[in-house]
Amino acid sequence: MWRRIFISILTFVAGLYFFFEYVMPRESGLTDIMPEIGPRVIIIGVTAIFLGMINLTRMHLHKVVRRRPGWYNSLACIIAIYVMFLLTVLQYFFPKTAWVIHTYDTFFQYVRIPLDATIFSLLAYYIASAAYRAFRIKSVEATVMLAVALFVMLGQIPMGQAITRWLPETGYLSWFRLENIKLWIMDVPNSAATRGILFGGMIGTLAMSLRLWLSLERGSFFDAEV
Amino acid sequence: MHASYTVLILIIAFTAPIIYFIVTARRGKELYIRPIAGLEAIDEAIGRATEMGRPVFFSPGLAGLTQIETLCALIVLNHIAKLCAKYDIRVVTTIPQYLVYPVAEEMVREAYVEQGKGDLFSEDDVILILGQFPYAAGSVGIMHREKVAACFYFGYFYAESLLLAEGGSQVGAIQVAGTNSTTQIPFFITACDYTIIGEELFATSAYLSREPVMLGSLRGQDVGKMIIMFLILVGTLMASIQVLAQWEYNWFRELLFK
Amino acid sequence: MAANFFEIMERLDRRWIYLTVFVALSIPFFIPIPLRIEVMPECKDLHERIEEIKQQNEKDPDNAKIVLISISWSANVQAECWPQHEAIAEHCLQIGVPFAAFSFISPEGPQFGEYVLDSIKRRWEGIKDEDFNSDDEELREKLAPLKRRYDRMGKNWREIQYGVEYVNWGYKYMDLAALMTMISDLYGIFPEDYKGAPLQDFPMMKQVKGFVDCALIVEITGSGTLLTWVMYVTPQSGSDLAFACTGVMAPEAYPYFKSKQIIGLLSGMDGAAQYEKLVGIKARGRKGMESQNLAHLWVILMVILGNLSFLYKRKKDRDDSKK
Repeated sequence: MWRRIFISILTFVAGLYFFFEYVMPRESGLTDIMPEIGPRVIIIGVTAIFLGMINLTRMHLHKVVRRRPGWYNSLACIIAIYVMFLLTVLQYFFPKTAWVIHTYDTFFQYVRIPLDATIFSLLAYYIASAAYRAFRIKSVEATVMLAVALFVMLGQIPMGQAITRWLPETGYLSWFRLENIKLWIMDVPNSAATRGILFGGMIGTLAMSLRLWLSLERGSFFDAEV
Repeated sequence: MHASYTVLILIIAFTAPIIYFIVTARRGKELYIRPIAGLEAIDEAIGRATEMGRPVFFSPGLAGLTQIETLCALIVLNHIAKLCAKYDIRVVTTIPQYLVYPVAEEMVREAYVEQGKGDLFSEDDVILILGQFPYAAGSVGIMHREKVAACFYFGYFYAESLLLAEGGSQVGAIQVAGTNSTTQIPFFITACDYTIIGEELFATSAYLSREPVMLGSLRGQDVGKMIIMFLILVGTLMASIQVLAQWEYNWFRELLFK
Repeated sequence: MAANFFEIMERLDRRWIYLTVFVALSIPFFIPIPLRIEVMPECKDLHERIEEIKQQNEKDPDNAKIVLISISWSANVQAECWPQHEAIAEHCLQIGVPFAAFSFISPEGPQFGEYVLDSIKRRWEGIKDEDFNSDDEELREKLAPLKRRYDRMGKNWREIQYGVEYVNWGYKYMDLAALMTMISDLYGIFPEDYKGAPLQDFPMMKQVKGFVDCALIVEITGSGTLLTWVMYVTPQSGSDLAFACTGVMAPEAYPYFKSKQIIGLLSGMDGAAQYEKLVGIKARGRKGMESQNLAHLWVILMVILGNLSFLYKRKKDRDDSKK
């Protein structure tokens, strides 16, 4: 009970500072405290990273010790995490030791980068396959969506732009150049839709911040011990 | 940048209805939310998984615990876990954020215990996979190995959205997504069977949780949006008049920037 | 025959699509495709702003400002973000606008910042001094943007002077409060550069107190970091903001370009290719565009074929039901 009251008061006071810092004029002196806060927040964040590492280790170690199905994957995960962690620390303390730099670079350049880039690059294949299956003119809306998508795709690439390159670069007719149609689609309908969703999201965020600040957020999340 | 007077007034205008409706809802006043179409899709997908006797997959997105989308996703997870417990099937959840992980685990456990199926819950079904693409790759691997019958993606997503949705499609799962991440909505629409767009995600979680705070807050947010709509309308009107009448001074614009 | 073809297309295994996309992406590696890149206003504006900073620094050297590149990208999005980073860095180096790089969300960011500079240096090694005054008009024209560096620095033009032209602040995990601290007090968060040398000692950092002294901040990212800058940092620091992002993130950024909250926008590889054209280089962006170009066309073709087979199937189903 006391713990909860203490957390609520602490949250409220901290929130109050940021609120007043924003709404009060600069002369209030509240902004001058800001540089003192930044580095402290970093410390909290870094501690949270360690928390993540502990969680991850605990979870995978549990699997390895109990020989759960796929335990060897967990073992590989633990080894990968700690080898990279150790190499990074070593590199910091021994920045001129050749083998440290070489090993770190090898892992980073020839393991980490290709793995990450490969997974991201799968998107190219997936989007092609998803577009092939889903972009069907089943209804009027689907047809409009398909037409807009084709304009944007063609306007994005030089070979597509070449289709309307014969049109003048200035004047009314230039509006029909594919790159300009694409720009209009991105600038007008896209911006309108994005803003609409963003307004909703931002008010949602404001509401949630308010609930957290005033410690109204109860129920499912914060009653449980985390 | 410090707040101008207009911003201060807007902050009050947006927060006052939220607080008012939260207080009203907590006092016990019934606030109506229309039924959410996406919920039927969730029921249908779990029904199919039950028929096939296969597990379902859930992803709460990449955002952290302090983002509203994640909190909404966790409420949906709780609902899905309850349904799964009711029908004796497993829900496999992958989590990309270390702070979300314990909360998600607790919510799934609670759901199973509440339905009297605590023995069906396994800690191994809530899996922490850190990093965006390791998360996507790991999750798709799990979908394939577990042969999941339904996939649910609720929360805030980045580029992993399509990797997950296409992975789910490869195993032939029914897929339901809910996000307000504007850049990922098109991907979910193309690859999923049903997509809950934008703020319907917030409404879904409020509808499911029936928490007075959530319901009141949602109603207050609606008032905030109405204020924005009003300002946009008046702003557009004033800007148009300014151009047509060739005014040099637009008092409404000046007022907003004061 | 045609009927058979459409039936096959309707039932096409997705692995065939993967294979053909792979082929479309690979062809330009072996057969270069000459492309004419159209430079769009959102790219041109960023280029012009960096040129303006150069002029302002020349007029008022005591109050010289820097460009700050925020490296919020990592290995996964390097195909799009690396060329953007390289083109902007090349531009700053060509005209002599000092720039710094740092990262607040990608621990690998500073490392990539160094790789990008290495890549620029490697490209420069392939250029001989006499090429700048070559008889070949085409070559001279091609090297004209880089000649500005050669004219300024003479024989040593290939050496990037660390601390004078460029500084790498490094990476630090930070929350919003820390980032906002950096608006006026950079050294409270970054007392040292990424190698551990005192940051304030570098000549180009002498007049820099924080973001307030960065005339332009370029956020290069594959994540949703734009709002952090637009909402919290640049309105307070007074810096201009440019956004270079992966193609998929661009739609979210356009409203801010339209409202002038960002002064330039590079969208994916296409944006990088446009910038490369402006700075007279053909690096990863323009080369990559060849593959992207062909793959886009292939996807468009697949979508059209998919729809034809869908229409054929629908017609056939209707005919069958009539029977």
